[in-house]
Amino acid sequence: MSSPMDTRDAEQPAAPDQVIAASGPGGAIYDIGYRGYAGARLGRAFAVRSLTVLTIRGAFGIGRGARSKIVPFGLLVLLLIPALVSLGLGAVAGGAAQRFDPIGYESYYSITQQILFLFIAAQAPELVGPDQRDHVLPLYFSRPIFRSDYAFAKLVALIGALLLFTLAPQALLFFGRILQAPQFTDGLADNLPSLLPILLSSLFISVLFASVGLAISSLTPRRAYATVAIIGVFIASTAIGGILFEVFRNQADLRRWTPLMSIDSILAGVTSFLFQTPTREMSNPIVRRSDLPGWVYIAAAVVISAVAIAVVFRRYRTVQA
Amino acid sequence: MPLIVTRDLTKRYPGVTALDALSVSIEAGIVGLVGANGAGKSTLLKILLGLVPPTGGHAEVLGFDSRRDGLRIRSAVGYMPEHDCLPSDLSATDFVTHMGRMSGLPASSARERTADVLRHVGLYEERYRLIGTYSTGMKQRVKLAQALVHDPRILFLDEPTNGLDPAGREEMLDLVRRTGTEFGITVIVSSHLLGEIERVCGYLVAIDAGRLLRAAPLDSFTELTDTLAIDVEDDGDRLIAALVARGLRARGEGSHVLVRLDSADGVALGGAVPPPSADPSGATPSGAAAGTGGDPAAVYDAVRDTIADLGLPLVRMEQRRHSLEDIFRDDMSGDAGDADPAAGAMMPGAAATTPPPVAGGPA
Repeated sequence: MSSPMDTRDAEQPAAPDQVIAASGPGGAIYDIGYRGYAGARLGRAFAVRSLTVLTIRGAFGIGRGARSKIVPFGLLVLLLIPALVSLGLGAVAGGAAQRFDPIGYESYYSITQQILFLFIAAQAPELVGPDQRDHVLPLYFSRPIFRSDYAFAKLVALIGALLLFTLAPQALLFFGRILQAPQFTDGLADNLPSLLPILLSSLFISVLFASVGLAISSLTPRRAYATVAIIGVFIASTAIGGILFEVFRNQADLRRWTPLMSIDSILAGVTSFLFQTPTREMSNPIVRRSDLPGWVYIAAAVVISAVAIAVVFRRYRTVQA
Repeated sequence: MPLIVTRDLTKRYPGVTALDALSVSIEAGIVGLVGANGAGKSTLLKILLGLVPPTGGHAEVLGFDSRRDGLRIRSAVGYMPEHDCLPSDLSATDFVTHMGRMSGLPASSARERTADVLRHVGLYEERYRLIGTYSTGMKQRVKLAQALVHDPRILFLDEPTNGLDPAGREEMLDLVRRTGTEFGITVIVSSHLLGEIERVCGYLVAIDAGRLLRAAPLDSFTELTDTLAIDVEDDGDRLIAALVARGLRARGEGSHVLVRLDSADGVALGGAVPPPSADPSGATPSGAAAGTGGDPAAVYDAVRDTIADLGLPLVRMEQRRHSLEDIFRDDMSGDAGDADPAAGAMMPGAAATTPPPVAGGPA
């Protein structure tokens, strides 16, 4: 977005050159005075992209101190361990192991969901808390962007970070299995059908977790509150879902809906639906026994994400700057 | 053409009216925005930036409507907020570069401009350290740098000397002056410290309780008053008595003797102490002096003669100027000479030691 007002730079006289210090033979430092800027001014999209990139880097502690990297990279390593174990088993036992291997594309999400919870609880407050705590928001909002652009950039950044977290081990597993197959073409044929469900599952889960985590984090500048609240929501909802499932033991019509009370059941339901897992093979007992239609989980994930995203945008529309 | 125009600009918060039908237009230059804490300075700046919507009225910056064209205004304006606003876990270089990009500068330009402006505000090797380790003075410099990085046409500085020690204030004021003069950027600088404003600004906008008190060039705030201040190397009481005896309105203020120039009703009347070698203008029209009313020359003469008669050693005699603080007094044209000694705090140099905040307005 360049505007006609930039013409001033051309008229502005350059300050006279002035030597302020000489350092060594042939070297000198010149104070060339203040220079205007007549170059390009890119628009909102560029600014939003810059903020997104900075935020994703922040989520992994890149460009920050070494301590900021411990949590994200530690969790990423933890996340990869099941995939490495699975591939290790495959290497030792050959293709036969895959039939008994409990670690698959679909179950990976359920196995590692606690790590995803921890990542959200640790990093989501870190992405938005400091800007409120240190009152940086007025500086952002006095730039040529809208308040919603800020919210959008933060959401995209956290979704991006989670996509990386969910897709990295799946990619390892995917390419590892193809390469381990006796025949490359067989490996490809065996694994390729899982590609679309992997991508969709990661997308749904990343959007759901990121939006809920960010909605909670954006409401408080205090990191500790946000972290506790996020852990509370993720863990308590799982517990509540399990408890209600028992409470409604004799009310089948209510009982079937209890999986929608807990985030981990929704995650399991979404992945089972996307991977078209037969009901009796579902790993989550509540989802298996409720036997809700798969699209209900998708709808639940979409609705919860939408509400959480609305909370984030509303928060940044009204927060004081 | 004015860069900033407001018409009946009003901002009400629940229970508080921050701006009350403020109409002002501001031209290029270094403009001081003065008022007590809570007078509405910060609110005005935020409305102009489009950060806060006004309750009523209209504001234009560079011809753009603050309500509709906030983006365009913000791309051409730099803003330095009053309070802390810096992240602690980034270096100054990284942060200012990022803010340059947020204003639309391409990555390489943002880096170049960052190096430039950080040098201008006086940050050198420290720029690579985390901002969290900075002193208040260094943070203020970073705040100024981030407002300058995109080469704005107008700079809004909200209380830029807040929290700085005397030396830091000096340096910040110098930076403000350079930004306005060398850089050719219009600067709107808000402060509750008149002494600082007086030293860097050419134009003054004074607001109190959300209302415009006065907007005018600085000179016009410090015009001559109708008060003559006299210092004699002695106890001034004898002089006062003699002046009053001559019919002048004289009184003491600390070590000064103050005489009203517009009150010559009866100067040298009858000549209670007739001057021996009286100047003709002083002695002859003795009867007419009452009719001359406010002839300052007659007062000067009478004062001179009185001092000569008493044989007092005269140290200084000068016509008082309005002090900036007078704009916040109810009676602006009245006894400007009554300004309390604190007015002296607004003289250059003295301002570095915390001068008292201006009177008036909710704190």
